[in-house]
Amino acid sequence: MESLDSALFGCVLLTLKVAGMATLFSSILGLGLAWLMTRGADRAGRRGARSAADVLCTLPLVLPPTVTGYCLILLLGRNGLLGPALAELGISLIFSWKGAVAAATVVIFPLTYRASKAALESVDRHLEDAARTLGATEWEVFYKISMPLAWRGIVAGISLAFARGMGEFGATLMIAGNLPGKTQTLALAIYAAFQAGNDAQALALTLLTALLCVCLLLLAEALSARRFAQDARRA
Amino acid sequence: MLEIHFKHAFPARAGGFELRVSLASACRRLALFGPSGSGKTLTLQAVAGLFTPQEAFINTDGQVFQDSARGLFLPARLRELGYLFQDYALFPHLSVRDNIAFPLKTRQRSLRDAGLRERVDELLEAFELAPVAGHYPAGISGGQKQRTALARALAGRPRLLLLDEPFAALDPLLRARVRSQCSRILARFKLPSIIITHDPEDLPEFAEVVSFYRDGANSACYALGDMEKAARNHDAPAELLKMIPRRAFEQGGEAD
Repeated sequence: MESLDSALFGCVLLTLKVAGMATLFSSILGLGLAWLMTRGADRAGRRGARSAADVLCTLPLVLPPTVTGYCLILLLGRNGLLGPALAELGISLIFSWKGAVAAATVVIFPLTYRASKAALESVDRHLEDAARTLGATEWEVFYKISMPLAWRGIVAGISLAFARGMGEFGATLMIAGNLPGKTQTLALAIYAAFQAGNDAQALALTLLTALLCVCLLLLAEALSARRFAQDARRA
Repeated sequence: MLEIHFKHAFPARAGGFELRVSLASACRRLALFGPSGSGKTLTLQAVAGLFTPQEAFINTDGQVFQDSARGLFLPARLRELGYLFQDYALFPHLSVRDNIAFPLKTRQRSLRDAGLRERVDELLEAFELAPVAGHYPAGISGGQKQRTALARALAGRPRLLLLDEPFAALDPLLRARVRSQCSRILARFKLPSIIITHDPEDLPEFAEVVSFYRDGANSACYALGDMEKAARNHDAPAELLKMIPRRAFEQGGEAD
C-alpha cells in the first residue's frame, strides 16, 4: 500500500511538473508572439502573413492531439527533422518526461497565445501612444502600460492552459509513451488502470484529478477576484 | 519655424481618403480649425510620430522629425513633445502622482527618489492637484483629469505642445474656466503650441495664426486679425467671423 501511495504521489508530482513547465514555456512563447503580432497591426501589406501566422498558431487547438503528437514525432523524433541536432545536444524527447513537456507545450500554446493577443488588443491604443510621446521605449510601453492593463486576460488564458496541460493525453501518449514512474501522468494512469480492469483505481485517480482541477480553478478565480476588488476600490 | 508637409493616401478599403497637408509658419501659437474627419488629428499625430505619412517633410525649429526623401524618421519617444489627447489618455492603473511622474522616469533617468518626488510635488502644486495626488483617474473630476493630462504632458519639459481638442470633453460651464486656466499655464511655460479645435472660442486664447482644414487638405495660415480675408478667399466659413469673440481681433491685430 505504501509503495502504491508513493507511486501515486510521483504520478501527481510528474503531472504538475509537466503541466507547470509546459505552461511556463507556452506562456512566454504565446505572450511574446502575441506582442509581436499586435505591434504595427495598422501597417498595410502584412495582413496576409499575419492571418496565416494566426491560423498556424491556433491549429494545435483544433487538430486531434494525435495529429499534433505525430507532427512532433516527425519534427523531434530520433529520425525527425530536428532529431539529430537534439541528439547532439544530448536531448532525447521520445519516451521521456521532456517529451511530455514538449507535447503539452504545443497543445496548450494556442490558449496562451489567443488569450494574450485578445488581452493586448483590448488595451486602448491611445494609452500606448501617450506613453510613447512621453518618452517610453517599446519595452517600457509593454511592461508599464500594456501588461498592467492586460494581465487579467493573460492570466485567465494561462490558468486555462495549465488545467488543459494537466489533462493532456493524446500527444503525450504518442511522444512520451505511458511509462509508470517515468512519463505516466494522471491522465495516462487513469487510462492504464481502466485498461487493466482496475476500476477502483481508475475512479480514485479520476476523483483526484477532478479535485486538483477544481482547486486550480478556484485559485485562479480568487486571484482575479481579489484584483477586481482592488480595481473597484480605485474606481 | 514649423514646417509640416505631407501626403498620405489611405487604401480604398479604409475609405480612400487622401491627405495633402502643407503648413509653414514662424508663429509659435498655431491653430488647426475645421470639421471632424478633415485630417487635423492625423496632422498632429504625424508631428508626434504616432502616424507615419507615406511622403513627408516635418521640421520643427531646425530639427527634422521626418524626411521621407532621405528615409529619415525620428521615433515618437525622441521628439520631446507634449501631446494632450482629446480623451486625456490618462493611465488608469496609475495614480495622478504616478501619471505625472511617468515622463520624468522615462526622460530624465538621472532624476532619482527625492529629486523626482520634489519635481512631482511642484507640478501637483502648480496644477492644484495635490489633494488628489493619490487618486486614480477614474476617481477625479473632468477638470482635474484635464489638468493631470496637461501636467503630465509638460512634466518632461517638451519643446512643443500639441493639443487635440483639449476642451471638447468638458461641459460648457467648466470649459470656459478650464480654458482660461490652461491658457494661463501655457503662458507661464512659454511653450510653442499647435491646437486642434472646432470651437471658435478657443481661438483667441490659443492661436495667433489659423489654418483651415477641409476634406484632408488645409489652407494657408491666416493671422487672427485676417479672418475677413480668409472668408473672402473661401478658406474660412463666413459664419466664423461672427462666432469668434471680439477680443480675438484686437489680440490678432497686436500679433501682426
